[in-house]
Amino acid sequence: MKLLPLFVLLLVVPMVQAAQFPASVGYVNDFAGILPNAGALEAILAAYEKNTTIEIAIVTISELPPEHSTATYTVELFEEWGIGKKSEDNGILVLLVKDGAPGARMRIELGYGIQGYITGAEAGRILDDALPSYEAGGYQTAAEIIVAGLKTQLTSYVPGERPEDTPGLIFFLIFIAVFVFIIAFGIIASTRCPYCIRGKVVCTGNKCVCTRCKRKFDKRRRRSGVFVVAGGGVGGGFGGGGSGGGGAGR
Amino acid sequence: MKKFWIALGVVVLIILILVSTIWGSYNSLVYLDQNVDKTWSDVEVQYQRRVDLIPNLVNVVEGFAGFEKETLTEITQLRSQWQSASSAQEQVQTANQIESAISKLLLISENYPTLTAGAQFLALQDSLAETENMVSVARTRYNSAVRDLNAAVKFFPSNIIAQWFGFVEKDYFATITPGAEVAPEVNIDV
Repeated sequence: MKLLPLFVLLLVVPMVQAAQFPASVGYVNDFAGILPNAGALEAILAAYEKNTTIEIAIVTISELPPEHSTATYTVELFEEWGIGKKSEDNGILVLLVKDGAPGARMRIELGYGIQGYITGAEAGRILDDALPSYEAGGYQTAAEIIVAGLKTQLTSYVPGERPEDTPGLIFFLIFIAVFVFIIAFGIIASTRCPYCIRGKVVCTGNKCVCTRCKRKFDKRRRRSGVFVVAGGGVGGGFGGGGSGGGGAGR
Repeated sequence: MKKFWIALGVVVLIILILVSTIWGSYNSLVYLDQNVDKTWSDVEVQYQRRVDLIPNLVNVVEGFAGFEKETLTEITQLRSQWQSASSAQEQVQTANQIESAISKLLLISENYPTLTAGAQFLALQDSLAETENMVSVARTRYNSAVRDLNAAVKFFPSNIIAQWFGFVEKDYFATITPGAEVAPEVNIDV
């Protein structure tokens, strides 16, 4: 057991080193802190994903990492996060760089499945619409204009069948297995002594006694099963979609 | 008798391990090899996309009086040259020529403010920039697919299996003519 922390460390260290990009925190990732009302956008995009399955991610950054253009940054981030449903590639990444220079201010990166609905030229026009707000420092408004523009272009989007994702099934089975194990453990534990744990309990009426440590106690003190709800942990909320550099930048 | 069974068990175990190693290596080599082909076809698709933009580009530019005709003729010629290209080598070469021809055309366009200010031209610029970007992404992915395959072909133990089944290293994109890595200056400043 002493080796366990070391083992965990070995697992964690390479992961930390590989993580070049920040993890996504939702549909809106305001890393530069320039969207005063990010919550409203988040709600809009969450609802939009629910209705259309299209995943739109908004990312703001203070500056591009060295040797990156908005185009290379969005392609890599898109791949890292896997925006869009895997079978549909229906993700869109909107990048806003705070106080960016011309050509490195904004970018719309389109997933493969979106390119049939929005061309690079159309994405460029949407950015042109948002540019005056951007230049005035109204990043929130700029983001809202972009989202509205994308939605308009995508009104004819026909969502494919919701992907039958086998990983989900596997996680579900694992969850069931863990669940069954916990219940089984709870049942076994409930027949054990709450003090010495290993001793068997014999009850007569409401009074119980442990056969091992001979302690006496009321029936309600008996152990009950512990329910642990395992949550999250499996990456971000995006579906594993890909992009190939389509879109436009300003 | 007991010793015999133990020995047999060990031999069977070793054979199982060997077979599964070979099996696994072979399968991953097949995957890597096909991935190179797949990513290469992506590169071709993007090249085709760019070629398909040429008529549109010519249309938009042609209408402007005094626009250098030879540039347009050259680019149109390159387009038909691309369509008749038979080998991958030839395709890459033509694609590179097209790339520089387009960038030349865009440079010349700068001399025509009324042209570059037009909505049609702006849309075209975005399309070209998008295509350039997609070409470069496709190339990068092709190269990384080649890198994965070449590593598997070189490293032990998959190199032995690669030799048995005739998997060979493939060429990176760097073998193309110089200057091709430089995307044409599609000026998207507004």
